Amino acid sequence: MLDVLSVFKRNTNQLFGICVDILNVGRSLQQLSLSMQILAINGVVQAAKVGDGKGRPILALVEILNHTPGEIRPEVETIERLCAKLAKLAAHSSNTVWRYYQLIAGLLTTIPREYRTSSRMHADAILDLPFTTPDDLAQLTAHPTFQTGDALARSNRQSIATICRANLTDLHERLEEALSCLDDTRRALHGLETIGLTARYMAFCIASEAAGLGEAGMNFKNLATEIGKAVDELNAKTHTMKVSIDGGVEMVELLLRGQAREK
Amino acid sequence: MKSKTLFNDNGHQWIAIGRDPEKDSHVIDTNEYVIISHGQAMLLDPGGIQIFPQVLAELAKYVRVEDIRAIFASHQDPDISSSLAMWLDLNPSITTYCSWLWTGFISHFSTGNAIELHPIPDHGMRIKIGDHGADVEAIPAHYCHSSGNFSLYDPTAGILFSGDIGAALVPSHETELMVTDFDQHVEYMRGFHIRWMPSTSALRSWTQRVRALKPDMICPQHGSVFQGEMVGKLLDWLDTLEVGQWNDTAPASQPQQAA
Repeated sequence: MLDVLSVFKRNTNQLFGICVDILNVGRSLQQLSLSMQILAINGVVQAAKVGDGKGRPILALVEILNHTPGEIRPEVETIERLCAKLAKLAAHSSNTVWRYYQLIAGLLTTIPREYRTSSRMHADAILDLPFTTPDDLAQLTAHPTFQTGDALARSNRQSIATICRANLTDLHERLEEALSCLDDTRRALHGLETIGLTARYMAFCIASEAAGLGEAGMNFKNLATEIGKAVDELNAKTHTMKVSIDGGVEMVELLLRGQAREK
Repeated sequence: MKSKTLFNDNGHQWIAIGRDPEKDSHVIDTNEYVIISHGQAMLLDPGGIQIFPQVLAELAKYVRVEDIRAIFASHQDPDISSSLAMWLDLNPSITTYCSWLWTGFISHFSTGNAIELHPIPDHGMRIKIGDHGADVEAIPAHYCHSSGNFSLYDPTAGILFSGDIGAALVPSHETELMVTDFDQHVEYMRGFHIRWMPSTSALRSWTQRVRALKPDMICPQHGSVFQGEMVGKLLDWLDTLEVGQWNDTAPASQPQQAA
């Protein structure tokens, strides 16, 4: 009777997992920012050793690079803050959908058994609704089956339906908030990508300058390679987060439409 | 879920809800009781979350959900009140009573809003059902089985809700709610009491307190209801029991559902 709602409930709980995935990758960026800092300090030291002022352009470049970790940190903090909010919304949504499920199950059980188990088409049709949208609830409360029984039964059914509606509205509000939170997280990721692009460009410039230094430029070539690797790692992590965010957005949009995904 | 009116006089009713033929087999069968006094209701051990929809649907036949004014939790177990958050969601004005020992623990059943509980002191208390309902009395039943445990006596109906005392693991083919064959019923009660009740002296104190009340009916949270001469037989039997037993040389017992 409540198969779709049961999957809907599970999908809502899965939001929490998606949010943890985003948060975990987000936190690992802090470590990456530290690695970049070490590379930049190393670059500064190496550039200072180059004589005849030839290391000066490289010194300028690695100093720019030295700012990168400082730029990554606030972005990561923003992502962490957004993920914390998302986790709170996901937990609230899980609780709400869980209560909603129990209340709907109670509400449907108040409908006399003969209407629940009969082959009457109209009764079957109404009880087979997914009950994942306000429209489903409206159909139930407007249905003649809902009006069966004495005044007490009808009054209680109405009260329970009102609370079901309040829970569903609350769930939708939280899911809307979660959607906007996921969008904000995606925007914060874009900031990280821009930082990565700048760092890669700096690495390219360092490598170019190093080419003119002959033997003395070897260390800088290695430094540029390491920076490139760090940016690759940053890109891989932001990609993973994007995939999780896209999955989250898809899931929330699905839930807001009152649909559920079996897998 | 089935329900049966145990008492109905002058606007004062006792209804037992239980013996759910559709319940999952891994969930222990429980009895939920409701006292409706002049239109206002008190739920006694409203049950676990698993059976909430069924209990709600059955209860809705007797009382408006807005008129549930109080919940009494005999102790802290999940089969007693893990549905509490659902009832408070339905009607936030419900006052929930439980032993002071468990207020901080039962609050963990919250699913959002904090659960506010009215603590019952160790010596018990009188509780009014709603604004103009009858008074009932929380009777100490500590260590029977929980360390903070209460029974509830309703002097108007002469009914004692005993929680897990007198409880039985009744086979599913026994559909009768009232105990009719005491000797047979002892077989369903013995194992339950010997293992789950930790203190013989606490049990003796409880039977003394209950004898003084002279209840007409004793309603446990699991199993069948004792009425008339069965009440005395139950108290006599409890007075012979040595509980809190576990023999570690005995063959490994079958895992059982917890009370």
